[in-house]
Amino acid sequence: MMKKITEYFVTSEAHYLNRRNFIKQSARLGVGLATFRAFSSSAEWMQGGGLSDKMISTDYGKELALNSFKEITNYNNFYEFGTSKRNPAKNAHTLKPKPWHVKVSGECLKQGDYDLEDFIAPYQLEERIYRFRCVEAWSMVIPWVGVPLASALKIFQPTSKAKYVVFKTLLDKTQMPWQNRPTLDWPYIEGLTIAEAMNPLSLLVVGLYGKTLPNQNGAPLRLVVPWKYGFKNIKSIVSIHFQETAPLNTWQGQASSEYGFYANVNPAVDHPRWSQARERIIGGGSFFSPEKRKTKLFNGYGNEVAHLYTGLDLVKNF
Amino acid sequence: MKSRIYTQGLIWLRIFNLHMVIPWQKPLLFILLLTPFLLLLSDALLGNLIDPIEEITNPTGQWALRFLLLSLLITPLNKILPFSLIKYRRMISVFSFFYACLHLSIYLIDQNFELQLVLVDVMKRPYITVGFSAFILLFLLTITSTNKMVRCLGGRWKKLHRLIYLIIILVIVHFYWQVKSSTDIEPMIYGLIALLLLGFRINWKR
Repeated sequence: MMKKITEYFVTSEAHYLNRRNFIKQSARLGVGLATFRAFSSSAEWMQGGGLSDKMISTDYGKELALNSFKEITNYNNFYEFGTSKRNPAKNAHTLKPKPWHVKVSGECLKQGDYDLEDFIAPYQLEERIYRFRCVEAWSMVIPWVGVPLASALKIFQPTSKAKYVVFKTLLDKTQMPWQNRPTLDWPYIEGLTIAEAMNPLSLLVVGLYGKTLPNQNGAPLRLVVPWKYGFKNIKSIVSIHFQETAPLNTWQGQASSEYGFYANVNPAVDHPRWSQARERIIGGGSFFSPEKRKTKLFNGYGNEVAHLYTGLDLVKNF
Repeated sequence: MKSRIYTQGLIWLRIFNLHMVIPWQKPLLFILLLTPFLLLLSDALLGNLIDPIEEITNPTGQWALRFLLLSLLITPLNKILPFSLIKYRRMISVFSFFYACLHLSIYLIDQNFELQLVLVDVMKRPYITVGFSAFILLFLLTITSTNKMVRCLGGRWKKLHRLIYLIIILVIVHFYWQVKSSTDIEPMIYGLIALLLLGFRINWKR
């Protein structure tokens, strides 16, 4: 079974890379966007609204080979919808990403309850292709659509006491049925230092592959910090809180010997139960010889983020 | 007082035996036990798997565990049911070993068959140490499960095959140590079933 050359992969990626031309041509022919969507065999593809006309492309990750839409939207860790990778795609339909409110609180001048539409409207959406490295030693390449976290946060005017930014996922057992189970301490919490949050790489994401986020990928608003392990990229955010002290993020609270606050991708610091030296590239290689790659420090984003950690012992502060 | 219908039913079942009620039961059981494999194989061939490594490793490990538990269920069932299921036990346990083999093979593929990496893993990572030990022991029990070996070993066979109790504990620990969240309910459910099955045996001896 050769994953990389399945029909789906080739089709979706080729169409995707050529999408603007294709849309223009389709429109000219009077066929419209519907045809473009019809080319995809995945139903989820049609769920999301198009963002292509609202976003600008950037140079981030232009050279990387994308994972397919199918891979990105059917292989997820989102324990609010089940612990298996396939669960979220099956179960996340109960999430209602519209309307959506984000509560901003803590050490900032503009606290308040913001409607997501108003929250995102002032900013130019950007498409950025980032590598994604899961703490479970697999990786993908994903074309996110979002706004730089820094510009969104500055609007709230954090005070000098705002040393950390803390994000919370929705807590709602009807919409997120697995929150009935004690798998994790709900709601999911993640945090960044203010310097990390203000780093140009940090992205508040509302879409992928030019569409609004599918539920299983953390609709309607999630964080993406590509130099950290996947679990830092908190999904379905309802709260942003500025505070002076470091928060206890969910996985750290769950097993502090295994998951730290920083969770920077680092091949030299193994997870106590498995090695982080290499990663399996989802969709890469063949069945009997899956493609592996040596994991890079900061997931290869050292130029952009290494300065954040000068003088910090990365082994102790994993 | 047991009802007459129950007693009569019992007698009838003994007379007819399960053989008469369900023909071809061993081949049927064989296909049943093979079904998870066939489903996985078709998923793999149809390209339905996104990460074949994980999506084959997990289910094959779980089926190995389920069939191990099922084989441990036979003895208690024999005490309750009016007919014996003992003749199916070997096939169930051998299938457990079959799924354990698949489980281990996928792990080896994931390590690109670099034996040095595997050795480091086995030495350094407790969940792999435990899982690997369970596999070796299960292998030992599988090769000694032929009629000839049963005869050869005589009384020692039963003693040797009590290792199955150790194996099931190792497998549960392997499962529990491997999941990401220590409050994940799944390994605990399997653990509970294993404890019940083991506890049942302690009681019988008294």
